[in-house]
Amino acid sequence: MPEVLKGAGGAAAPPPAPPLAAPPAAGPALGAAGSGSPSSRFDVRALAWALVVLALGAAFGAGGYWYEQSLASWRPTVTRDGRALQVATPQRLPARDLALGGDNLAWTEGPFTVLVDLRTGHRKLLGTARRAADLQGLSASAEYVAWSVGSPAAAPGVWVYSAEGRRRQRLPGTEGVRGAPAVSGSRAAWVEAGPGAGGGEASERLIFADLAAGRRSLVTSGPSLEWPALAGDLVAWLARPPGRPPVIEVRDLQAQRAWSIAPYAAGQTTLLGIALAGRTLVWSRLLPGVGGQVLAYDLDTAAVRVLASMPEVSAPAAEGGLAAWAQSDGPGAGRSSRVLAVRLPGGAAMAVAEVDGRVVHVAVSGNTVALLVEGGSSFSGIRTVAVPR
Amino acid sequence: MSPWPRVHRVPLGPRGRQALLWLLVELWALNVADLLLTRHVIGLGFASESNGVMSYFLQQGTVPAAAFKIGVVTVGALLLWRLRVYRAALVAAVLLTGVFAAVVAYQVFWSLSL
Repeated sequence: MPEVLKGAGGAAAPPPAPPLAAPPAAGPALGAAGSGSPSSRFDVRALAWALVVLALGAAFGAGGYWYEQSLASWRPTVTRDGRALQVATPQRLPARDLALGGDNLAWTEGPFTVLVDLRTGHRKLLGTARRAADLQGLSASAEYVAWSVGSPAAAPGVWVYSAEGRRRQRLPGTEGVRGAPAVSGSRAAWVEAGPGAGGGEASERLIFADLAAGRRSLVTSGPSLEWPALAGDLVAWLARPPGRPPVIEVRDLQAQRAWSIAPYAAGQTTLLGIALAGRTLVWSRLLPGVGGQVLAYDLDTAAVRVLASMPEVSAPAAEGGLAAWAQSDGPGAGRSSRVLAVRLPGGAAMAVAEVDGRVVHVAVSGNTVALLVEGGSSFSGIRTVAVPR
Repeated sequence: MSPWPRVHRVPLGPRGRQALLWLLVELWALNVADLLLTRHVIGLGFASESNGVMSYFLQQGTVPAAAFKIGVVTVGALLLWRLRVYRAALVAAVLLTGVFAAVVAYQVFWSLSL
């Protein structure tokens, strides 16, 4: 080690150099002890570190969401071919009911109520019941989808989904709902159990509701009411008075007019369903030894017209002036079905689709018909078809 | 010898404190986002609050629910900031912020699917 030179006439020795401070290559570690007082300098790495924690957490949440969705058993496969749509529900969850209103195509599969937007193909789970049997039916308009849950263990009542507000709610006080509700525009109707007129013995009540305004009114009550149908100011339903043949009742809620139509003569006839196409009542029936028939009754002229007479027909569907149904030659004639539509009151029936399999449900809205096909060798599920103009 | 285990004071450096501060800010913002998203999906009718305490406050209205939820997290964040001399405060903030970020991201995707 060199000595420090000392001498009276010599130059003064330079002061020792200060120790070199190591440059903070990576800055102090997060856990390293600081000077004791918080640093007021903005440290971009501290912010970056906090953002990494945020991003990792968000990635974990997003991954959890997608993983959960991949496990969802309700998701149908939707394929589009131009304006037509094909929906294949999961194999273990065949579709049962079907409803179409505007761009809203809704159905039930197992305990699930599912909606597809016809424009976008976007699938949405509207509701989950405990069992498939809890779901009693559904109906749709361009504005609303309504479905009913009948089991006390599965939030019973009328459920309504507003397509515009993307809002779902269970209508309060509807726990006693029986059967499927009906929707037309922003109006709905359903049958519920309740006291008879004047608080008498228990009966069923037909309720009419303005969903947009939140108003409800009692249309009628009776011992057995079924199948409410709506079109504008008209509401129709099937009444089964005890000891007498069933009667289709129609009421114009605005004009306070009423009609009672016997859907068939007394006997072993089976009524399959009713629908309102504008001011025309459409129903289908099964006559023993004859087969199925679809009939139309013009409420203004009282003219009855047989729209179809085939070995097998489905329940009719209608909206506006358009009615549609499916028909086939019966079980011995292969497994193909035809879907027909007619513009009422005076149009001729036109073939809309011919499908391999059995069409068990038909729904109509605008110029679109939706079919639920069972047992098809090439396709089973839901299809939409455009009606020729 | 003390019968209780001692929590050793592991001090945080300046960067650790800044990171803690940012994490607490994120936690507070995520808490507000969680409240808004929860309120949104409950309003759409597709969810119900399963936390009994929050369910009670949400039934009282949005303002009481917001006051409770934001208040609790604000107090918690201030407490962690007071404990910023401990490394454990940073660890807690990392865990809380990560979990809240996951919950909020899940809610965002879910509410977008409704």
